[in-house]
Amino acid sequence: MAAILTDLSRRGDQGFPLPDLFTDVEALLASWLVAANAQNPTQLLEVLTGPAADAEHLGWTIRATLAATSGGAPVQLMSQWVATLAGTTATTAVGLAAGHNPNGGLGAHGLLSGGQFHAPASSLNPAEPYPALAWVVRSLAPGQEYFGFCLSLHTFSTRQAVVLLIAKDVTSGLWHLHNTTMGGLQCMVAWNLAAAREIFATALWSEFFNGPPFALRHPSAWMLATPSIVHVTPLPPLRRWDPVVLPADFGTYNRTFATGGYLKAANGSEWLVFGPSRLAVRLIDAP
Amino acid sequence: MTLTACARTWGPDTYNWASSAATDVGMRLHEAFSAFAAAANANPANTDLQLSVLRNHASATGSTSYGFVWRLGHPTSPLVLSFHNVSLAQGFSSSTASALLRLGLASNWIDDTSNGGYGNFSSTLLSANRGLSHYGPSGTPAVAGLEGTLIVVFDATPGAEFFLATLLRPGDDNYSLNLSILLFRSPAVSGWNLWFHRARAYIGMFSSNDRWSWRGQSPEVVSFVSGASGTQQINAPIAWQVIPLATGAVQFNSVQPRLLLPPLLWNGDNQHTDPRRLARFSDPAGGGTYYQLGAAGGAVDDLWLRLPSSPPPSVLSGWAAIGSLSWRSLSDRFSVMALPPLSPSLIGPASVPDLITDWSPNAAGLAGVQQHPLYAQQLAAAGGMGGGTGGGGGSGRPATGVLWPRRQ
Repeated sequence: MAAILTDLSRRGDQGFPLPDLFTDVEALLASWLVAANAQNPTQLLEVLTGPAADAEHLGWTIRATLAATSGGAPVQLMSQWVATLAGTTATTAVGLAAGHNPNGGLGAHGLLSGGQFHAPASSLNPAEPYPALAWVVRSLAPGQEYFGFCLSLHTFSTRQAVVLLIAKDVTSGLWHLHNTTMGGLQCMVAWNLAAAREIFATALWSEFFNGPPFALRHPSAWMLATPSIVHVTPLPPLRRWDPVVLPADFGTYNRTFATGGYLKAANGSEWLVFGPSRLAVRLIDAP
Repeated sequence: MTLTACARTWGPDTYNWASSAATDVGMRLHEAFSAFAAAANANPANTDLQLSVLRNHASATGSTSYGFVWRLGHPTSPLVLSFHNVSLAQGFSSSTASALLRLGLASNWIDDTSNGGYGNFSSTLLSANRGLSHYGPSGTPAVAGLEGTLIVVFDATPGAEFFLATLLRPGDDNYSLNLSILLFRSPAVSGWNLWFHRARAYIGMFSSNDRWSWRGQSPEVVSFVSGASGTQQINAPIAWQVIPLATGAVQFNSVQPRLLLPPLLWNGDNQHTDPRRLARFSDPAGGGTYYQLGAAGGAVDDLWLRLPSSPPPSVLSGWAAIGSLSWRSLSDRFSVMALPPLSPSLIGPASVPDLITDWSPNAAGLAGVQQHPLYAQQLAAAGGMGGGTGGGGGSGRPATGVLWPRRQ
């Protein structure tokens, strides 16, 4: 089992590359969504707003309706990654879809709040001729489906992002959503069946050492942002949470901002470092 | 093999480390360790990993120092673990040192009656006294009314043998320290691993840890991955990462099995202060109970034990079940998350950047692009270098027709 990779990288000195790039990603996403929804009839992935809908607010607002209910209604998660070209900023958020205000801002996208939100951060500038290193990875292996899109405009740490990662949480079989800011700040929302509520994360479990040696931890799992000691009323109960685990094609590398790094492991597998989340995606499986 | 988990507790003013009486804490620890050592030594795979007792509380030659010396067998580098108190002064801070734990090569241990009967080392791997304090009615000053407990948990299942001893003071003395010694085996490394954990039991946050594992045939300090500080979250199973050595059994660019701690040990972070020390709660998922052996908020190394309810762990004759101790119940602001089983680590290069194994995108210009498995394809897709200017790297050279000059 390994990712299907599409390389959408392009030069930046022949016009701002993002609009065309996002259009290409949208085409791949649309065909993957049809197949992913077809083989998961109890769940639904939708692009509420895509890059074609608003040329000034370029990105995706994705909604996932899960095969789980809360208060009698299906649970809906949302991911938002929107580049506002006039402001040269990117806005990122994940959360419950109930936090989405269609008229809240970001043009046709509306604004998602109430979950994890990273305010517009200056990290894009159409006037700068940055090339776009861009990869789409995807799989339709049952129970291990995912679609991911990462972007790196520069090796500098404020110019890389995971724009989209729609993936199964292999523990629950439910979709979960991840993205990062252009500076690598991570958002993740999933629905946790054991605790019967949403859960967020800002980090993956990775090896202690920043290397060397560099090590690939497998499988990838989120370090869940469980309730803290902050006193709130009512106090959150003592809970057990299920781990939120990425599909088997993902590993966690103990190095950040190495997008494009290519790992040839001793077992013959080969991995691409995918965005600034410490994720690496398997391109060639071990023989 | 069966899991044994049991406790001995001493009432107010009867807990006394500085005693060699068979009914006091020191010889009870000896009794439990001896039972484990006999079982572990009988495992066929442990021929070169024999455990033995070189000293115990009865070895004390004076009236101050009491402790133990254990020999941890190894095919090439057997170790000696020595622990004894060096004064009867009460502790009052994390830097108090009234006891001494040492780990050294067995060849460096001097078998004499120095140190109150506990011998000496010509050199040590580890010499730890930070946060080791003596408490009890024999101390100076004496702390009245304190209870004391010894918890032992062990299992001699081949390949996953472990022995855990925790000394804890359930009383409300501000400075009471909990001390845990864990010895465990994993097929991933060549010898016995040691985790020596200290935490203040009641007020304030303090922790001190020493973790030793093996790099090839050499003992080595290890660090390990735990969760985020302040999460009120505990996790298991915990794995130590085995660090490669170019000349050792663990190679760079290798596939390395994980070094798993005993799966009933949970680790994490709990930043509540009193009254949430030495807590207990039933597993929300059922089937077991969690017990807090050490609390060390802020350092992400609280130590918890999850004991299954069925089958109940064995109890040594004359000892009590752990659940009979006076734990405090925990009911809120705490999370338990099991980690997925880890595949072996894919260990990378010895240094960075390694242009094949870890290809940094800014590594090496055109030559790097040509070598990079994906960038080379980008170059090819863009028509290669064109004009026969050399380079190859998946150039746009036609498959038929003029194939000369070829300059690769």
